[in-house]
Amino acid sequence: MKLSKRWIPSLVVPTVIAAGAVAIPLQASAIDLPDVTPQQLMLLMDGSVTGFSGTIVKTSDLGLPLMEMSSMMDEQMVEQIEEKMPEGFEDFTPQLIEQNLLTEAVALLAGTHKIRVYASEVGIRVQILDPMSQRDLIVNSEEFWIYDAKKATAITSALETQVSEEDLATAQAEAQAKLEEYAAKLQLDISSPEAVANYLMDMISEDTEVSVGKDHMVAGRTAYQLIAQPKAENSLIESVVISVDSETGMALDVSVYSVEKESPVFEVGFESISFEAPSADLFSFTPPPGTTVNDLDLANEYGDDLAELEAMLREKSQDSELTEVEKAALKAELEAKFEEELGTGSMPEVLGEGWESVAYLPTIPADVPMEMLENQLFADLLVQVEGGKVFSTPLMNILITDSGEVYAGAVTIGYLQEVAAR
Amino acid sequence: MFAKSLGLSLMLSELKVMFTRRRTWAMLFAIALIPILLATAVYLSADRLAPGEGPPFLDRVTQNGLFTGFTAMLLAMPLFLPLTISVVAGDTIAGEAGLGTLRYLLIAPVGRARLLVVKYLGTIAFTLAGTFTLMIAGAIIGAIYFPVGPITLLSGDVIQIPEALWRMALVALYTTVSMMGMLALGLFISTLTTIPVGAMTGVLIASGVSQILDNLPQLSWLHEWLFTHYWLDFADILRQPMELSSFGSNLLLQLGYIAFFGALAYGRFTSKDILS
Repeated sequence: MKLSKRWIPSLVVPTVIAAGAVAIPLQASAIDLPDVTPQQLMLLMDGSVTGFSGTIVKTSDLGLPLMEMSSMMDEQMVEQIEEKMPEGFEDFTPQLIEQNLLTEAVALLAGTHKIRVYASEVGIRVQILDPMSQRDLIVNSEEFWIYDAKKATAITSALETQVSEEDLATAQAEAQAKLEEYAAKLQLDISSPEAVANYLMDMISEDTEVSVGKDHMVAGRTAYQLIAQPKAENSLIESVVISVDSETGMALDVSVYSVEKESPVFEVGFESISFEAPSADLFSFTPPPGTTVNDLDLANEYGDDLAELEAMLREKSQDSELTEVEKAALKAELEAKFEEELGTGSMPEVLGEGWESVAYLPTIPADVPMEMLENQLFADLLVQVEGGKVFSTPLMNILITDSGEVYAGAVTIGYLQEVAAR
Repeated sequence: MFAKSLGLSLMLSELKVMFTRRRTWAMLFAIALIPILLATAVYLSADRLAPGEGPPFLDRVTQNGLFTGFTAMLLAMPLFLPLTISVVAGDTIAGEAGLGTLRYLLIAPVGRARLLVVKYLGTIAFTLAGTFTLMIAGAIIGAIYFPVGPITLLSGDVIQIPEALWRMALVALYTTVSMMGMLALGLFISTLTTIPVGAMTGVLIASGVSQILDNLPQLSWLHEWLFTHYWLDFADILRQPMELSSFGSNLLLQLGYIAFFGALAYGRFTSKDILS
């Protein structure tokens, strides 16, 4: 039987759709911009963009479990499930992971996020478009706000920006003088941007291979590709690819490739962008009624600390003259106090340099929820190796030695063990 | 000229038949029940939800009655709305065939293609009626139980009531557009069979399967091709400024489905022998 002509549309439509799906991405890479050297590209990136609005999409393929699952539970729900669970099925009760900054950071790192960014000279607004919810960051010249629509909470603080023009001028002059001094030492002509670019290029080339890739389209704009490849052989990073807008020099997309995977393991890039300054009312924020507002008031907290310190000093100085030993002790005491308050005590030490730097911590930081490490999803990611356990992702390895020391870096497991053994 | 007016009169008679059916009104009433039951349950329950607790948007209902419509839409979107709509979509051709009225319909000097278009537009009309019923019933019941005032958007901005009503209408339109691909699929399945229930079930299963596939991270490459992919993105209308990109992608996707299944339905319906 001959197929009726009436079936023709049924064949044409899928063909057109398939052709479109193939041709549109192809078209994006079929552009040709004037050739540039990496140096010229770096100069282009120096261009200043004052205002834009755009949508950024962030995708990551780090093999991290999605944290959103556990955040949908609360303690009550877990208790209820525990009660109802028949004997022998305890393993199936969901584990509750305590939410803190770290777990939120992991959640933000893993998976895909759509983020809208608005920037102008008035301020900046970042909106993370969660499904059915949204998180906003608003910064203007007077204050900043972080608003979470799901929890209906807001964090705010006034920003100190009252810098007198005189101070600004002296600061600028000082910076300029320092820069010139530095440049003289390096025998570099900083008035010539080319020279600076060449110098930077030389610096980078010591441990990185820099090249210009294929011209392509990003967010509907023509873009160059700047490719940086680590020379270090123990690095987990295969390359970092930056797409640079050919007109404004703004970075439109950053992709990180791991040696372990072919597709980018981490990518942040504009899906759409417009270089018109967004309207100014986006940068002011009034918390809606019913919002729990947490006023950080950084300036006051700082002031309190300062007043306390001054009082302490005055008290001490009244005890006649201080000996050198006492002064040293006092200094140490103050430093310890500051470290404690600012939390610099738990800052990791960095071993090695460049692409092979390894962060070292003597113990696991207290704010890592241990439940997270026991969670099956995470336990699966932990690999037993000689001398400890390794939390392995395509971009980063974290070695926790049997003695509780932590080594982390974008390097191979073998190299981490080597560093730990030293 | 004559043909044109005939198409219009056919459309009018199709709408008349649809909206004089008791079944249509029963389904619209059932859709209206979703926000009514939701608001009543929230009103009667003693403990108030803290922000962020429970399903998204639910905690907002008690603060502002106008939010009931949005919350109800969120609850109805995965199953209930597709269910009622699959009944109408599956019924288009198979229903007439099952009743034995398709023959008489085709005796009139109307092309089969035109009949398909009219039937399809009829299902869109029902979907519009359904989504607006849900939003309007939500606003009314919410206003009865809870305080009504300016609405807080997801970005923390507050909009006045007229603007809020406008956004409710936009959500209803968005969800109608979201259903268009599924309606086209329903029209095609309906041309395959003379048993309406079979067509209805087929459509409903397709929407279920599509939603499950959309939740499997391993199939992420497939997600943007699934007709259910943008269904819940109507929340983008509740942002300030409104995020229109999801609406654009959704429209393009749905038009693709309409073209694909429309062509299949045309091929099938115009070439088959009508025996009933």
